[in-house]
Amino acid sequence: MKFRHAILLGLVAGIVACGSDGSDSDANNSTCTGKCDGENNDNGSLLATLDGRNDPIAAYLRDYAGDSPIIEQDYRGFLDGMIEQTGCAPSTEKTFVILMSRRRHFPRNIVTLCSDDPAKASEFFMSTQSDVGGLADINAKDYKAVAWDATARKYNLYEFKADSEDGPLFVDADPQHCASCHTEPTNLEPGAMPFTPIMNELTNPWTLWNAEPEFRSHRFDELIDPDLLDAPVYSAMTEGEKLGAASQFESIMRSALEKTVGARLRIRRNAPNVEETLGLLRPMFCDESVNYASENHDSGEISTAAIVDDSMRHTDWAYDWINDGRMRLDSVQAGETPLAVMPVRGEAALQVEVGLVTRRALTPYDVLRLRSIDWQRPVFSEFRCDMYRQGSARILADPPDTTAMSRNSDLVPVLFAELMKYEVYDEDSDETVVWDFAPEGAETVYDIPDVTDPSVDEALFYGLTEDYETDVETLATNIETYFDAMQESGQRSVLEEERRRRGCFALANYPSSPDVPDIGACAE
Amino acid sequence: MNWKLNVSIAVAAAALMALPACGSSDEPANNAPANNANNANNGGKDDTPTDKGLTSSELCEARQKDVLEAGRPNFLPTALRWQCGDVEGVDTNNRDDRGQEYCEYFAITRVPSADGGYEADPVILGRQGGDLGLTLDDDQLFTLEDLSDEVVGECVFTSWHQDVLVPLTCEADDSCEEVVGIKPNGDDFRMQISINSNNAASDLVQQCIRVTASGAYEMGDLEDPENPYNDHFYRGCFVTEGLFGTHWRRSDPAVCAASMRLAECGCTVGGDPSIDVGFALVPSIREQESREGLYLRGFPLGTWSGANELPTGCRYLDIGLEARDNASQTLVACEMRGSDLIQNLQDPKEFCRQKYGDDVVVHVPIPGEAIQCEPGDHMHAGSCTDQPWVVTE
Repeated sequence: MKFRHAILLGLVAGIVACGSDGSDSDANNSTCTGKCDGENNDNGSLLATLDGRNDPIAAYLRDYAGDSPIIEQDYRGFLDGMIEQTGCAPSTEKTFVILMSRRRHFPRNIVTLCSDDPAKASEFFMSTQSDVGGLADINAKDYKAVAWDATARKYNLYEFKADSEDGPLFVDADPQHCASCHTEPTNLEPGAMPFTPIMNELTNPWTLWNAEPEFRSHRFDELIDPDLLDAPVYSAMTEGEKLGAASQFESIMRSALEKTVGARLRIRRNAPNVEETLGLLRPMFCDESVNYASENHDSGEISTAAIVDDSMRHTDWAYDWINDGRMRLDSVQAGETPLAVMPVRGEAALQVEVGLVTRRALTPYDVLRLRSIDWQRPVFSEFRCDMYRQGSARILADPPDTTAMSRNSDLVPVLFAELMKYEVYDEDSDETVVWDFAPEGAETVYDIPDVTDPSVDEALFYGLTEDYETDVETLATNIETYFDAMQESGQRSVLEEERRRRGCFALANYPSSPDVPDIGACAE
Repeated sequence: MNWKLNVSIAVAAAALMALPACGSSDEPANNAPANNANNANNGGKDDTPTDKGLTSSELCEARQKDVLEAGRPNFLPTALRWQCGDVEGVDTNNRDDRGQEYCEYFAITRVPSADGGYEADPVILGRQGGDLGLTLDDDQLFTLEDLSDEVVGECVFTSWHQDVLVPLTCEADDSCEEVVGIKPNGDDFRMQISINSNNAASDLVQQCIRVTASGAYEMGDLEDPENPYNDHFYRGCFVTEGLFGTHWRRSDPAVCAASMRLAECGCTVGGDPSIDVGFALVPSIREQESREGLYLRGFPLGTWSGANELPTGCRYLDIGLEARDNASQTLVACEMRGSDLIQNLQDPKEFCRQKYGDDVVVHVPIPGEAIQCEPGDHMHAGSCTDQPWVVTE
C-alpha cells in the first residue's frame, strides 16, 4: 500500500529570486548588488513613485531631489539630511555592524537615528551594501534605506547607488529586486507577507554582530578583516560613540517587527475576505521567516526555540520548557563546538500567531492542536505547511459563506478549522482519507512528535487515533521529557545534526539566510 | 607570597573604619529559598531548579558558565553584578516566583477603554500575589491596537530592599516622579520577598566569610588539577549550597564566592582586622542608620556597560537623594508600548523579563580602594591578586 500526501505543488510555483545577480543572499537586510533598475530610474518619475507615501525618506527626497532621481550625496550627506528630516539629535546616530559571511567576512553597517528610542529608531534604517568583489572599505555611494510609512503602516525601501566612483547617485524608490529577501521564502507564494526588516541573529550572543560594549562579541572580532577597521569610511561610521551594540539593535529590531506584525494583524478588522484571512493564517503553518540561535559563547545556554516552538510559551502551562525561554546544554566535550547559527522559527511569523491568540481570534488551544503535530520539528515542518497548501486550495475552490460575518476575525476560526484537515491518498485503493486534527468539541490533541516516522502515514490513513490522541497534559509532559533529555550529556551532536538539516533547508529556500557554518555539503 | 595592597584613599577607608567588628548580622538569616513554601499544591511538579533533579554540581557549573563564559563579566574591581532576569527554572510554574536576584520586577499599565481612551485607574500586574494578566474585550483590544505606538505602561525594576522601611526622600515633599500615574511608595515599589532584603544579603556575606575562616568547606586539592573545587567560583558556589541551598541563583553564589575570596586572601578594611570586612560589601541597615543614615536603600541598578547607565528605553526614577547625597538608583522604569502589551496580555511581567531583564543589572559596589589583603597560609592564598573578589575561575 502506498500513501501519498496530497501536496498541491502548484501553489509553490511562485518563486521569486532575491536580487538581480543571484549572489546576494547574504543576509540582514536585502542585498541589491546588481544594477538597480526600478521603475523610476528614468528621469522624471520619482515624484510619481513617491506619491502618497508618508515616510521620512519620501519627505526628504521631495525636498531635496524634487522630481529628479539623481542626488549628489554619499551616505553621510544623506544621513545629515535625514537627521534634519527626522528631528533626531546627531548624537543619537548609531552604527550597528554585522559581518556578511557568504563570500568573506565583510561588514555591513546599519545606521539608526534616535537610537535611544526603539520605537522612533525603527522608523528609519540605512544600510551599506555587502562586498561585491574585494572591497577595501565600505562603499560610501552604495546604500539602501528603509522608512516606516505611518499612514500605510508599511516599510518603504529605497536604494541609492552610483554608477561610477565620481558620478552622482541614482535613487530607486521601488527596488523590487531587493524586496524578496524581506518577504516570503522561495518555497511560498508571494504576496501575503509584508516587507519586514531582518536581524537574523536576533538573540544573545548575536553571532557575527558587534556586541560591544554591552557584551563580548561572538564570531566578530576574530573574523573581521583587521585592515577594514582602519579603512576611512568604516572608521568614520563607527568612531567614538557611534558604534552600537547588537543588544541595542535587537531592541530596535523587535520594535520594527512589532510595527509590521501589528499592521498585519489589523487585517482581521477588515470586512471578510477569504484570501486576506488565509494570508493571515499562513505563518502559523509555513515558516515565512527564520531566525538563528547560537549557544551563548561556551556557557551552553541557548534559546529553547532551538528545540521547541516558542509560541507555546503563551499558554498557561506550568512547565519549564514553556516558561523559561532558555535551556542549557551539557558542557562542550572534546571534539565538539557550541551550536552556532541554528535556524529557529522566525520571530515575525511567531508573533503573528501569538497576536491572533492575544486578540482572541484563536484560542491557545487552537495553537496547541497545530503545534502538537510534528512538534519535534518546530521549524521547517513540511507537513504543517502542506496542511496549509491543501487546505487553502480546498477553501479557495469552495469558499465559505461570509454573509453573516462582519470581519476577517469572524472568518479566522472557520478557515483555521478547515486548514486543520489533512488528506491522505492511497494509490492502491484510490481512496482519499481526510483527517481532522481539530474536530469540533474534542478536548484532545494529536501528539505526533515526528511525522517522518513511517508509522504516521499508515496511522493517519487508518485512523489509528488511539496511538496519537491524548490530552493536553500528557502532551506537555511528553514534550518536557524530550526537552529534559536534550539537555543531557551527549545530545549536542543530535542537535548539531538537526542544525545541519535546518541549515541546508534555510540556505536552499531563504534568500536572506546567513552563512550557517560547518554544515558540509547539502543535498540538492 | 605575601603582598600588601596600598590603601591610598583614606576617606573611603575612614568611612569603613567606623564599622564595628561584629561578625554577624543584626537579625536572623532569611536566605531560605522563597519558592518552596507553596509547593504543597503543585501536584508534584517541579518548581525550583533544585526541585528539578539537577545536582548541585550541575547547578554550580551552570552558574559558573554564566559568570565566566557568557561574555559579560560579573566580577569587576568596583562591583559584583548580575542581571535582574532570573535563572531558568524560576518562573510562573505553580506560582509566580520570579524576582529572586535582589531585584524584583512588575508592570504598571493604563487600561484601554472601549471608547478609544483609557480607564481612569492604572493597574499593577505581577507583584507577588497580585494579578498577572489583563483581560480586555474586543473594543478595548481595538483601542489598544490603535495605541500600539504609545507608551501605555512601564516595567518597574526595583532593588529597594524588602526590610528597608525608610520612606523615599521624595515622599516627604510629595515630589516623587510618577510611573504611569502612580507615585513610588513602599507598598507598591519596595521588594516583597524576604530574601531580597538587606538582612539576607548581609547575612550571606557574613556567613560565607565565617565558613571560610573556619575552614569547614570543601577546598579542593591543588595537587589534582582536575579537582573542581580548585575553581574559586565553584568552591564559593558550594559554600552557598551548604549554607542556604541557594546556589542555583545568580546572586548568592557570586556574593559568596567574592566573600570567600576576601577571607581566603586575608583581606581587611584599611589593614585593621578588627573591622568587619563583610560590611564593606553589604553594610547592615543598623550600621548605616547608626552613623550617616540610610545610604544603601538597595543595590544600585545599571546595565552591563556601566553602573550609571541603563538599557535603551529605561530611566531611573528620581526618588530624591539618600544619606551621603547618594542617588540610590534602586528604581528603574522601562517603557511598554501598546504593541508590547497587546502581545503579552497574559503576563506583561514576562515581557519585562524578556525585554529588559537581561540588561538591567544589579551592581554591588565594592570599595576596593579601602580593602587591603595580606594572604596568609591558606591553600588558595597563592592565587590571590590585589583584587581577589574579582573571581575569574
